[in-house]
Amino acid sequence: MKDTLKKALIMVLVVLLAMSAFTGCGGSSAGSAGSSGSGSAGSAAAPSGGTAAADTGAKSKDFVYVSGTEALTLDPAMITDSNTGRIARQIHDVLFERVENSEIVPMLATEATEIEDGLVWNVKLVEGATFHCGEPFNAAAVKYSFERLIAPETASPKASALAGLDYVEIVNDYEVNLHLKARSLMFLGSMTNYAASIICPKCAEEHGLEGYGTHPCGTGPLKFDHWEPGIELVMTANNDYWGPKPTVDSVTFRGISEDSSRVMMVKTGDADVIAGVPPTLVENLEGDESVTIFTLPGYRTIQIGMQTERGPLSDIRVRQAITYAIDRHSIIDNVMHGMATFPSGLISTVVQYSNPDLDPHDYNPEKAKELLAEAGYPNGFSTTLMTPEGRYAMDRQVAEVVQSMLAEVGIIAEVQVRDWGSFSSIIDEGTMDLYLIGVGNSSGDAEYNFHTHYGVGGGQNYTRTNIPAMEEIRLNLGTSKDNEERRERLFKMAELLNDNFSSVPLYYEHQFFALRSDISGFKLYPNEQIKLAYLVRN
Amino acid sequence: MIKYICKRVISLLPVLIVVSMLVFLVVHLMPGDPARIIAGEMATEEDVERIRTAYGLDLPLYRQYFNYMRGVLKGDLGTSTRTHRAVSEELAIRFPKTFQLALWATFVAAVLGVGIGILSSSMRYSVLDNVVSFLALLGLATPPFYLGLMCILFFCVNLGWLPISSDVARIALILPVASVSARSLAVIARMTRSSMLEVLGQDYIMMAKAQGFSNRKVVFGCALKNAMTTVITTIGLQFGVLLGGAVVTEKVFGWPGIGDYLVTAIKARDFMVVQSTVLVIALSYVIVNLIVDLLYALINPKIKLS
Repeated sequence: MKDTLKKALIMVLVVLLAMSAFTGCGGSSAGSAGSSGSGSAGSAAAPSGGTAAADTGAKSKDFVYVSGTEALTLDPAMITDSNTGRIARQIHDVLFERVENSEIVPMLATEATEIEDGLVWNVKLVEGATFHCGEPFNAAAVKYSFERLIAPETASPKASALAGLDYVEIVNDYEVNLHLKARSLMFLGSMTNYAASIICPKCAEEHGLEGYGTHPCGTGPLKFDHWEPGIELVMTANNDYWGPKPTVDSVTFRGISEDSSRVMMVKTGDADVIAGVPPTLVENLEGDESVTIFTLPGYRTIQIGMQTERGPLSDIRVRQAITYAIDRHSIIDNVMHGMATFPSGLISTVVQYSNPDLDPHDYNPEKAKELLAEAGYPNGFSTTLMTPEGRYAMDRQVAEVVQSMLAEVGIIAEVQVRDWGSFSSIIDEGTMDLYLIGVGNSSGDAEYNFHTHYGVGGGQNYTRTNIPAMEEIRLNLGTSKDNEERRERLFKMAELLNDNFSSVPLYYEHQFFALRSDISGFKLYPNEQIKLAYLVRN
Repeated sequence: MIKYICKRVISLLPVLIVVSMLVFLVVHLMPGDPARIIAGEMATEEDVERIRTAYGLDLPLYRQYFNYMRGVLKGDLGTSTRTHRAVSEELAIRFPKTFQLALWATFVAAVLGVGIGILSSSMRYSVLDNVVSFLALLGLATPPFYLGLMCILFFCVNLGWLPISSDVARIALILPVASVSARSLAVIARMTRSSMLEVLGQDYIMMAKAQGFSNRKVVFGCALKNAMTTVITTIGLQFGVLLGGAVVTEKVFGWPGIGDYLVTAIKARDFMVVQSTVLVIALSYVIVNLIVDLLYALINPKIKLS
């Protein structure tokens, strides 16, 4: 009996040892990755280590950036989420970028002029910029990057960013002609999208479509160092940058999906910059002197969409009633803790050419009841309200508050929570009634929203909006003689859209970043882009 | 014995095939169009169609399944639609991480759990026993994310002893292991206590005591071994479950295991990742079960392996 017990114990020990040996292996493979990681992190830190030896008072120039998800790929053509777009743009430059107030300024370009009746954009490029691998930046790189994005073989999910582009003609080394399929004044804005980043043709060919995402090479102020998926992505300063020299030595990117953990990391200094602070945790950070909050209204409008071809919702009076029944000030103050902007129409007012002076259709439950009675629903009706959960800050909670506000005027809406996968296919089929959604803008120009979200045939016109008067203007936007005339037309369209009540704009979402207070040089723009190369620890 | 192992390994094959079919079906019958999700929020119809063709999502389901299985047999677990990286490459990084966490957590839980269980059973109804029972109940009832966050708040923010999330030091294991093992520890301690009590009530224990064996000899020499079968089953089950990834703990500590990876993949309808990860989890689960079965036979020869 004793012997068998001994045997059993020995067996257990052997198995445990074998297992730990296996973890040893696993650990060492991860460990070797880890050591190479810390090794190169060490090498990344080496220059600062060198200076630190000479000047012991020097502050570390290595920074840690933590977001809710890690980067998925660094190939600009393959990115579909703004967090990854932000990270990849630290390595890559674009021809034009949007800065404060959504203004367009040249980046790798020096100027752009419309020629041949607007069917061609002539773009002059900066001279003297080089890619991280040493290759020169020139017209061929622009041609390669743009045509790669729209080529069917690339199967890029972002090909539509340059949808209007036909082909690129090289005029000389530093000048290109961009031939469009139809005249588009919005095209300049399209080129600000991260998908239109300029990549190194040589490196892209060398690594192919599969490999470029992990071997990126751009002209940006930071260059790729190494990446261990799930652990960290490290970029180092590009000291040969053609623009202002970066002030950091390295930036390490990490993904921590739990909001509270991320917030605690910036509190303890484990992180220098964190992205995506939910409104509920902002107050927690505001009390902490070691942390500064960066916030800016973004391009995203959280709205209640209405499938205008379904049941009672096809009646504009019902849609008006729903709009007047929702107290948006209360939602912004109580659910969003005041951290959202009261809307003027469906397109965020930080988007270029959006109309800031639309009728807000403010809360008026009496009017809502009257309109319902007029439409033949004096006792209200039953419907559904679909919402994703966790996709936008406080999404389900907002939907529940809307539900109770609708109940006040007699509309009984059943809240249906769906994960994004199911949600997106249901709104695509059009089998929903009311739904909560955030609508963004990838070009920074209001025209984009009209084509994509509110125009007939638009890829995301989930409400099935069809306003003939607005369509007429929309289809003729290309004939605008200049941006001023286009702005007037877009303002008129926004009015027509606002009076159609196809969606209730609830609020414009804010972007939230938190930084250690001793750090300066952080830049945040309305189009969700950031600059990390110029961080300074004071 | 060797014959038995071979038989068991062969019988694993149908299990894995059925698992692969089920997962494949579930993934592809789930509401939600993978092509649309891959294309992202701002995509147009053409973008979506182009992607559907590129990923072979326009083929009939059975052909997609055979294409997938042909790849798996060649060791190709597919490519993630989110990251465009080979799933096998990603699992090679993440599975060892999960294994490491699961092994340490099970080890801590088993050693402490069995020890506490024995102690508590041999001092039944004492103050210690009551305290242990209470703590075990607390351990079972505390959600791991809460425990994890409280650990961070106390050890990292208030005391500043440990980093919240780091891969640099072994020290980074401490908090994740603590918060993952709490639950298993409670389960194992309770199971050890109750099966020890059951065994200690048997006649042969009375007999052993009557023969004048010391208490220690009775507990460790006679009772423990007989109580071990259920305890080992429990430990095996806990280990198997942890191998499936500790989603919440991974999220809280930014631990790059397969739990969070799988959940994110499900949300993004990253079908290749879901199929292959579940397959790997199923494989590791059946292997753990096999090891547990073999351990029974070693501990109790009365259990025949046939």
